[in-house]
Amino acid sequence: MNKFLLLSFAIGLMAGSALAEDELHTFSNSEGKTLQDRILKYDFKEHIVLLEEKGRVPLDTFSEADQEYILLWNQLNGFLSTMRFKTTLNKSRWASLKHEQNITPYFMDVVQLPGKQTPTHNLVMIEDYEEYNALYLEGEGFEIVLRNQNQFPIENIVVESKLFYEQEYYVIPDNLFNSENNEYTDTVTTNKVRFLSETVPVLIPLEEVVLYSECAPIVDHQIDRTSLVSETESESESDDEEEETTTEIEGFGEWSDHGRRRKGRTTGVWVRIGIKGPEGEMVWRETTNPSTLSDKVSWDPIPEEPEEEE
Amino acid sequence: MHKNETSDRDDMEVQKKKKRIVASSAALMSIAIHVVLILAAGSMVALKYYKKKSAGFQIEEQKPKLERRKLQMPVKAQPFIEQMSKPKMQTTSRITANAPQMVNIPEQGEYLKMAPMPTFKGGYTNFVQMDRSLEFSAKYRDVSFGVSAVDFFGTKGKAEKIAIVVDTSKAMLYDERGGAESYSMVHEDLHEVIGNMRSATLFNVVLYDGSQVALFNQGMVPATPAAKTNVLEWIGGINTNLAKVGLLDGMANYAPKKAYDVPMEQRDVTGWLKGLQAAVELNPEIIFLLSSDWGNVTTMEEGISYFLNTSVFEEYQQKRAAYFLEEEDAKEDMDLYRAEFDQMRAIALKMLELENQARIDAEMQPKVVRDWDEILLNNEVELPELPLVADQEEVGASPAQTRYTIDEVLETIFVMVMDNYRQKGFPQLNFVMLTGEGFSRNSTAAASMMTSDAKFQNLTKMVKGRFRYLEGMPAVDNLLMQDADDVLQLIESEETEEL
Repeated sequence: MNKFLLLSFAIGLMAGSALAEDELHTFSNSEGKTLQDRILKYDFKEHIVLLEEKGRVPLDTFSEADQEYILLWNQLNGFLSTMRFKTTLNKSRWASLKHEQNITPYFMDVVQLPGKQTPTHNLVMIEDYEEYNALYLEGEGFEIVLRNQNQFPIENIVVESKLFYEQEYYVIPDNLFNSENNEYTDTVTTNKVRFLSETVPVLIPLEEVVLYSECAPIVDHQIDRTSLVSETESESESDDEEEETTTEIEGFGEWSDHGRRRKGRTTGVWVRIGIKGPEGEMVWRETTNPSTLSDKVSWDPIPEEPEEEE
Repeated sequence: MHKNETSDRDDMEVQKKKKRIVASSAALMSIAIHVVLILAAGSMVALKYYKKKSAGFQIEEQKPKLERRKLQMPVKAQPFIEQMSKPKMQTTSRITANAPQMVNIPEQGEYLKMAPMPTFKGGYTNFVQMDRSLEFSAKYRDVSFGVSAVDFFGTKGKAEKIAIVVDTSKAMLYDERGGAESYSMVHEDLHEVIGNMRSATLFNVVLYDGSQVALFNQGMVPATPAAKTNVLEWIGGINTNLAKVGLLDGMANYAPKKAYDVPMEQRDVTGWLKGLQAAVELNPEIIFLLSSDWGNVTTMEEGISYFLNTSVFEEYQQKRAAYFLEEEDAKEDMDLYRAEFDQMRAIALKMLELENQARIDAEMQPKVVRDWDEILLNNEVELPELPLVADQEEVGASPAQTRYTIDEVLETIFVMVMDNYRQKGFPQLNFVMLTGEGFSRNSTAAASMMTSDAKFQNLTKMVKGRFRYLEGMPAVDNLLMQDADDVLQLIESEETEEL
């Protein structure tokens, strides 16, 4: 969290200094007179602008457009201050479900016969065997806390979040006969991003709002066939009075080899918080959790893949 | 003279002395009187004091009163938004004693403070964490708060936002489940459940039939008398006349709000799963679900129920058919099976026709069947067994892939729910499964989690919901006991007559 704060602080500082180094702005008053100056400070209570050259000038002296410019400048100034506009990201688990069961596998052939609405089946229970099947589902996400410590409200705050997570998938979905091959245990990892954009119409002084990122559904699935093998003696073997046992199913290979597992995990969240600046442009503050997230992922999708295809 | 003067002086002195004596005695008197008065008053005070002292014990008993001062201690100042998130129990219980944890009502004074606040929509402020729009509006509507207690076929729950998902498919009307009479139980229960809802409760009813889903309303609606009448009227015509089973024409009005990143293809999300999808998109706190089967394919004999992976199934059928065409022995087996199958089909269709005619004559509703071969089973006619593939690897695909595993379905539900609920977590899910009277579980299939009830039970256990069987009316028996050979003869004689 500290690292994250540092990062956001650094970004805030950079943005703040960018604002201070703005070029001179040409102000005009209600009578059309103009002057070039730079705003140093705006007193929201007294409605007085402190200009670098001209000094203290009441707000209502300026033209309507400039008044709006000053107010937007002030809002942006307050927004970019990490002390006065605070953002925090907290990771949380929103749901956690578990399903575990020992089951007897079965083979069921299925065929669609003409003239029938439903498929016809032929079921064979593989009764001497058992498998332990476990499924863990977790919904993880991030809480985005915004707090306005300025003396004035901040309006139209756009909060964009990108939730990054990865999930493994089986190469073969559910296939008993293919379990003989190595492919059965093979998994492929997919990186996923979920984007969410929300707008907070206004954040009044000392108000705190909590927004949420999208949810990352993390799946951990496991089939364990090693511990639950019920070793059976075939009739022919007992006739021969041999103590040999087998866990092999015809056509399926060694049963205990057929365990597999796939997992997933949340990588992190990248949050962009933005408001409209005095020039009409969007000014963003970016924060990530963990702070090292930007080393692993980027906000914009990397357009490299189509090039590789070419 | 002098003497006189002196005597006069003496007289005066005497007088003065007398005066002094008189004055001093008066002073003494007054002192004495005062002393007496003071003593008397003092003793009275003392008496009063002692009398008071006896009452003093009662005062001491009132000590707890002093502790009340603690209430006047400075209160930690918090922005009112935070205060609102933790309303005092006192206020809550005064308004409703039903489920205080469900209703978070700000204190009286907070409404005034709230008044100048901007109106927030959506779930981004912490004070709408539980979406309190209802409580706020309910306050102004001056009605009882929206928590309704619902008992849906034994699955109970209390909430402000309730969705009821009901199966209208033909599977609810099978003979062994009690036919149309069982469905009238569903109607009766819906009347009771919806009728008992408080008017501030938000509700919706979702009906499903295969891949079709109908919502009473596109959003949640308050359970006002008018809404209740409308919804019951809307449901009223469903499955009362079995000549038209399932959703009525033009009722299906649901399309998913978004594409979900789930293991199941959207077109394979059917039945209760699609009904549930429609319900979770409404964000109710509690969902009651009445279903007949788990998947869209349920085998007749074992009761194995699953969701079909249509595209893989189609591909598998092609590969399997190709295998049976190529393999000489396999082709022979399959041809033999198909010939027998075709004959059985003709018999079954005739049996069904005769049975239904008999039912019409007896002023009964027609028989609703899964497929035509059901009547063969009813009449104890065995169907030929489907020849198995000798070498599955030759086919190049496994039949296991043609159906979604329970894990894939559970993952689908999880993603759909979390996409819609996010930080709110899981809603309460309750499942009711309609069975016939004296329904017996297939224990072997159930142990492998293949039957509908085993799957529903596992799902409810996982989501910490409730599962109940709804035992329907007694099974409807066939009016005719038919013999396959007799029916075959009848078909043949009819054919010769036609010629």
